[in-house]
Amino acid sequence: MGRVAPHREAPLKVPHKEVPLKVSHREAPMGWKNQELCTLSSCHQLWKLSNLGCYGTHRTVTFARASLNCTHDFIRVWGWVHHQWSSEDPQGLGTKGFALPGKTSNVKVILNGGQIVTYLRPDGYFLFQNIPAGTHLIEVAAIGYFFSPVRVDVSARNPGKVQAALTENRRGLSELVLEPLRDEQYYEIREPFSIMSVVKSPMGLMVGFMLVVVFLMPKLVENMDPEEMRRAQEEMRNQGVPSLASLLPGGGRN
Amino acid sequence: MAIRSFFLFILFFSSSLSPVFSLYEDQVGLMDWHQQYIGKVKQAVFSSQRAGRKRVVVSTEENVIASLDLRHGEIFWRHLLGADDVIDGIDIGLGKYVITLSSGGSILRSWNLPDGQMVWESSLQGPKHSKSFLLVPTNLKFDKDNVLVVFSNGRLHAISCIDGEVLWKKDFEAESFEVQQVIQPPGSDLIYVVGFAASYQFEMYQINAKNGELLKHESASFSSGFSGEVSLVSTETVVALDSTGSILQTISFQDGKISSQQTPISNLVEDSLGPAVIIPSSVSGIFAIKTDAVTVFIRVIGEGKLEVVEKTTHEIAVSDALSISEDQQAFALIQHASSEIHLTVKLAHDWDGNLLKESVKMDWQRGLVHKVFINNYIRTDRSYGFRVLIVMEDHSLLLLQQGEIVWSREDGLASIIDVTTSELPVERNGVSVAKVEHNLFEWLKGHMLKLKGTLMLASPEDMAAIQSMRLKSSEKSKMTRDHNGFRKLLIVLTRAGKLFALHTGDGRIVWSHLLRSLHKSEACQSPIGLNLYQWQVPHHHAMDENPSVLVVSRCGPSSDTPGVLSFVDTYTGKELSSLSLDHAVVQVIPLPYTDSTEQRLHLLINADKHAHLYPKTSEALSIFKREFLNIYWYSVEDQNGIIKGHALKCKCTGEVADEFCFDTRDLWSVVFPSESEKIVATVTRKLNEVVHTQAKVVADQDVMYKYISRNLLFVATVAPKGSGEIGSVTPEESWLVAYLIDTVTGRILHRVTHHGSQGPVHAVFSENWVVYHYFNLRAHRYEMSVIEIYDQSRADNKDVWKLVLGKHNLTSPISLFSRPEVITKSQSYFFTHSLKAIAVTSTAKGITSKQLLLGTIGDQVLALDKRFLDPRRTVNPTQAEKEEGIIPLTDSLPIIPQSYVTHALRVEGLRGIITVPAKLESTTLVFAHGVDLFFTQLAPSRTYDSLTEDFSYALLLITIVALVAAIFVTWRLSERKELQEKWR
Repeated sequence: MGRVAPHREAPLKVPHKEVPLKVSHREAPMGWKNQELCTLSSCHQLWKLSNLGCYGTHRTVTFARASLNCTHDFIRVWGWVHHQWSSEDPQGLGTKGFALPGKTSNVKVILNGGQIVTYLRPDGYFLFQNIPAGTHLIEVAAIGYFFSPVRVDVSARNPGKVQAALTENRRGLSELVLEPLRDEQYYEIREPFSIMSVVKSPMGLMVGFMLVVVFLMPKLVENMDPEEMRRAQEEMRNQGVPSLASLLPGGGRN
Repeated sequence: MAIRSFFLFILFFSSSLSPVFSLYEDQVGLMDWHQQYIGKVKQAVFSSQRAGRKRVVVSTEENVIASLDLRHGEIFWRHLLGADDVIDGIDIGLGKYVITLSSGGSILRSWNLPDGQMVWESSLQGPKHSKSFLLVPTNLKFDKDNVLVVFSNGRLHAISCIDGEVLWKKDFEAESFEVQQVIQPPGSDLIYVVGFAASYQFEMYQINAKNGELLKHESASFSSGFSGEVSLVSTETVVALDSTGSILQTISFQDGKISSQQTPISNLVEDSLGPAVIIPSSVSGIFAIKTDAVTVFIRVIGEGKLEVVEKTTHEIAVSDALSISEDQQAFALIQHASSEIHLTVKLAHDWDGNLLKESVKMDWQRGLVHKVFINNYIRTDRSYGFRVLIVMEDHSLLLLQQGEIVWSREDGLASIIDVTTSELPVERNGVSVAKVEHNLFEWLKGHMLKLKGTLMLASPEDMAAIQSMRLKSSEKSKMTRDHNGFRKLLIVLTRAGKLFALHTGDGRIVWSHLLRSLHKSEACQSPIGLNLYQWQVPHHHAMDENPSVLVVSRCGPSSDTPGVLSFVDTYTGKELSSLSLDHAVVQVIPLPYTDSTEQRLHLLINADKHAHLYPKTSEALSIFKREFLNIYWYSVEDQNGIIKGHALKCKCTGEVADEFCFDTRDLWSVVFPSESEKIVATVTRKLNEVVHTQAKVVADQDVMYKYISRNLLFVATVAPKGSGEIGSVTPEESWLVAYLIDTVTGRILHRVTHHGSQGPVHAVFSENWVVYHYFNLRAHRYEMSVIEIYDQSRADNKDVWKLVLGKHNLTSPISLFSRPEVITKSQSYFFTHSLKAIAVTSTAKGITSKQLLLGTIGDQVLALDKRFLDPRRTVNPTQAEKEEGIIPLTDSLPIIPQSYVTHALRVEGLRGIITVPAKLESTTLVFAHGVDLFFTQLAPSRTYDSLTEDFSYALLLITIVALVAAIFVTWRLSERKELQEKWR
């Protein structure tokens, strides 16, 4: 069985700040500064830790040297996808008017463009095992939400040290809590019926123009001075049918 | 000026920047269809829940785990695991968790059976690689918790079923120990691990299931050695074959004592032919061995005595055992007869008595039965009924019950290798399939409903009526060619060697054909389909012929095995002919020439670089001779980092006179230094791409000429260190080099290095530009770059007269020594997602502006306007540039959710995107395939040449009627007025 040396005190290092689960996702967990390092030597213990200390709090970035078979530079990365659609937050979807087909069971977390694909646990946790030191990219694929890929630097020298940042807006993350940047609306929303839309349509314009001609033109003609009318008519008669030449530029000079 | 006005015309249609592809939610399913598949089933477990809907959980060769409805075969839920996460075993624990073991036994996951939510995930490490086993003992309890027993990577684990915690583990570190079976006898607290050491020693470990303590370890050596697998015939007896495959070893390890008995196969079967293999089965007391022609079922009676119970030459498939009561086990057996399959269900201890015997008619297009899974149910008269799930050679999945096929799934479509399209027959008198039109009243009624819909006055019932009317419009699923070219056949070749024709209108299977030539035979041991080509596309003068496709396949995984060609009629799905070649097929070059029956000439290059011409007709040969000197091709050896150009030399020499065989010569080669560059991607233009105009008018009344050559090749190389995964390399030691190479002369026209970048590279080449996607390690983001290449030698031709009379590139000599005057423009942008595939829209005449189709890591397809990847974008475009449609430069490409062509759907396991032009210039057909299939129509510049689907004819009619009425009214009014004036 080997060299399992359980650090019994290790879980206690995680401060048990009681943050209720219903923290709105707008309250970004940026306030948490004291990043905790858990250097455990047992995979099993880490799993327990996730069940204990990190539940419901936003303390989710914990990196540890993995168990005895995981060699020194193989590290596990785990974090939490904040999914408002599964928490009791009623505002998550109600505003949209329809439920997206996406559930937590359809959310994938993808490391390095498909090297490892994992799924979320019901509480939103995910875990990548046996990650070599280096810089990695974590992407979340969820229908209906836009997640920024996350750059994760796993230090080779100090197995507990890790940095995470959103690549879209270069914002650093103190914890690996992934939140959607925005919702994605795949469908156009039909404009409600309005008179203006009918009027603006080609047919509407046609009818409108006709109405103008029918009802406004006679009024305009009526308001004209009869003498002016006569003069205009005479002018028309003198000119005859306007020739094509007079319409062309330059033709008017003659 | 004509060109200019034409461009303005195009710009008019493409000037709006809002997402061009956008869909209202009620338009889903009008022009698109989506089909979900799972792939070839590897293992199936029936859920034994008494209440609720009956389910079966399956794992497949596409790495899918899925829960299917046992009544109808629909998918309840489905998960596609990563590409390297191959599923080793599945089972159901505690009746409500689906347990999967994957990644060579190193990842154990538990999923909630009703909804597919992952419950827990455990990583199992071990000292060395080994076979993996997953056992779910029903009665092994550990503090009220059910225990899973997993053997993987040389270590035995006991794992809690509730939270995935490892309760205990035990290593088997002996160097040469190879595990063969892990046995947990029901009703005991023991686990047996049996295996071979150094291939002649039998080892047995007895372990306490409560704590992993090793109770006993026995070994016995067998001088004749072992070969193949072992079959478990009871909880304490296994049967193995010796290394020659001719002697059966019955080894029992009752009470930790190993005893054995040897029986030569020749004692059991008189005319035994050659070495045998054991077919593993879990039926107690019975096992099967298979020689080349015969399958023999053997029963173990008492102390290692063997007895043959049945010998058959038919193809046969056996299910695992199903325990139907305390001491009774049943299993299913399927035998092929000519057009039927015979299903028998037997009890394990009673071979001669059948519980069930049924015959089911089976379409021979499904091939042989590969796997059988049995399940029972209790009939109303309290007797046992059986249903079996069978997996066929074409990867389809069928449920048989009471002598009938209850449902079937065409899961072969989950593994498509290649796609091509074919036109449908022309509509002639009497050919029409659907009824012409319903009467005028119905037509008007339909349009009135639509009008109500657009005016938002429709009630929910009306909306439903509109929706159903739209969806079942018989027009789109007719079996004849349509005016707009939307109706086509998609011909797909699957990994099982089956061809399917799918109708683009609704995605239904028009015909399917299991290729005879891809059947296993003496000459061809493991045939695999490679590619599809359009062999004959009847056109003007060969209208009476049916179009046909060419399927190229070969007889084994290595590229020097002989090839097989088959020709399939695309209207009927009949295999017209097939050819077993005497040479290998390394490369297939469709030539741009057709003979008088519109058969396309193809050049097949074999492993020793001889070119073979097909079809082998004298007419084809004479056409070919005429173009002999104009045929060039290239080959890429990505292992050695060499790209070579080839041309034809002369007739084959030496061999038997074959006038269709030609010797080739190497023209040029580009050798990439292996220590600094490794080829990761090569891309050329699509052969059938149409370019409408060579000239491009830029803002300041200038003309740029696109360098359009069919012979351009885009090559991307990366540093050998950086060819691994992201994060495995630092930016300083990684680079990506992009080349544009002329494949006739071998000249490198353009070369650009992206420092600090690495693959994977996805690229697409169209007209005079190439767009490629890669990873930028410095910014740690994905990037997309565009390179456009322009012909500088014609840059002086600034107006129409010079364009007609001036210099053009036809007169310049093509030689390695003439340097083409080209300039390139390029630009790079950030892009958020990883890509799985990339394609570009293609239209009939090439007038419509282009869109890139990006298959993202989330299995969606995003349409991105090519104008976002225009190297002439600047941060502050001038007024003239703005008018031209140049978008201000941003550092990253926008992702507009409405321009996902797959809208809220996923094409799970996306592998490829294919675009086909419709006859209507504005429209292109898009087919995306992976485990799922998705098809839609796209209009990259909106449908400027046809009325949209939701155009309201009723509104038009009403307007006309209103106008006519108004004319009459005003006429009457004016008459009356005139009369009054006359009276005055």
